[in-house]
Amino acid sequence: MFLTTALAFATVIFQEPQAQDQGPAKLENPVHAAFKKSLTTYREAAALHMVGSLEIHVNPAAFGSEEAELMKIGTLTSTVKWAKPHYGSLGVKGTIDFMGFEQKIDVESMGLKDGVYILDHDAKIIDGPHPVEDVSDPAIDLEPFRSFMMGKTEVPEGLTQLDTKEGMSGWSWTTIEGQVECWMKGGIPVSMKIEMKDGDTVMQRMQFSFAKVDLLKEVEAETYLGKLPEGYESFTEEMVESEAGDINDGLLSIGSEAPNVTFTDMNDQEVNLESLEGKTVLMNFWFYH
Amino acid sequence: MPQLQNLWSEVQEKRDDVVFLCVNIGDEKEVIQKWWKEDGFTLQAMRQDGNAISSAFGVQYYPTNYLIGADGTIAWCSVGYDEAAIREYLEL
Repeated sequence: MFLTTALAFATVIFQEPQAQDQGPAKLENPVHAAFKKSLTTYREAAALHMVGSLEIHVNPAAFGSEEAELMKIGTLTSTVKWAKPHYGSLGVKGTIDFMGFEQKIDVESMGLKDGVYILDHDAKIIDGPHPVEDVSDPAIDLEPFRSFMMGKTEVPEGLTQLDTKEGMSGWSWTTIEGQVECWMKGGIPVSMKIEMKDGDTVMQRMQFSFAKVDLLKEVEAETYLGKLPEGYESFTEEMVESEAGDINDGLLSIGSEAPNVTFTDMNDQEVNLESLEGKTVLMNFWFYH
Repeated sequence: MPQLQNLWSEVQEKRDDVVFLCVNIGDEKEVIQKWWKEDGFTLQAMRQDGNAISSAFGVQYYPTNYLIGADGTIAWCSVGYDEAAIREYLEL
């Protein structure tokens, strides 16, 4: 669940999906389009590096408890190595401490050494990687953020609330960004909070802080453990592009015959798609958990 | 899902040749029933064997929506929920 949560959350970082006026027969995804549009930003982010701290808070009331205070259930210390425009999700490598259980996560590792990196004012790596488990960085002051997360203070000074989007199932996301000096010495360019609401009730809050480095210009290839292809001294734009992929990859082509699949309805009866010929069918693929 | 339910309610009033299928992946039948009951959905939920249907339609991200024309061919598909496009296709 939390991996999903982290990725779902990461989605929000880079994507700015705008409602687009799409014709019905176009296989064009607004998220991907927005991503391409902001490719410069993406590339910086993709290149990245970052010291990340993600705290996951949930409202126990959502699980039937009478406790109303948000409860911190997990932290993720991560090194984000790479971003792919798959819904803007990030490659994440790190550890989630969830209710005392440690879970290592490593999504689409691109060879950046696992660990925590310290960045300077320009978001250049000046130190690291440090083993994730060894790092308790005294330079990071997350208190203003924690206070904010717990709903005790308003948006910390220096941050701007970008927008609030309606998500699935009536939840909404609030996205903020900005630069707050006190969070990390030297100032990390971006931090954000996502708040998921069900009606007026805060169900879950997550915070994330990250910095961007343009790998293509700023970071030595050696930082990446020599996993570059033979003959290359640094990552190229093409290599970043090839990482991009497309969110629509794999979907069936417009005009092609729909496969005759068999569904099972809620009364355990089988239904063939073919039996619905003559009708227009909207198929919505979804999951709850 | 609530947005889709609202759209479905509207579609039912205007069209009798349209079917909405909410193809679930991975949830227990009881979970689906509970949610449907609690929120009063009249949408038709469908289950699949493993990921057989998702896989046949190349679905990797959720939600993904497909529109299949009356002739049985793929008319439109999109990752995410693009209500405007669905409305346009269904001429609502």
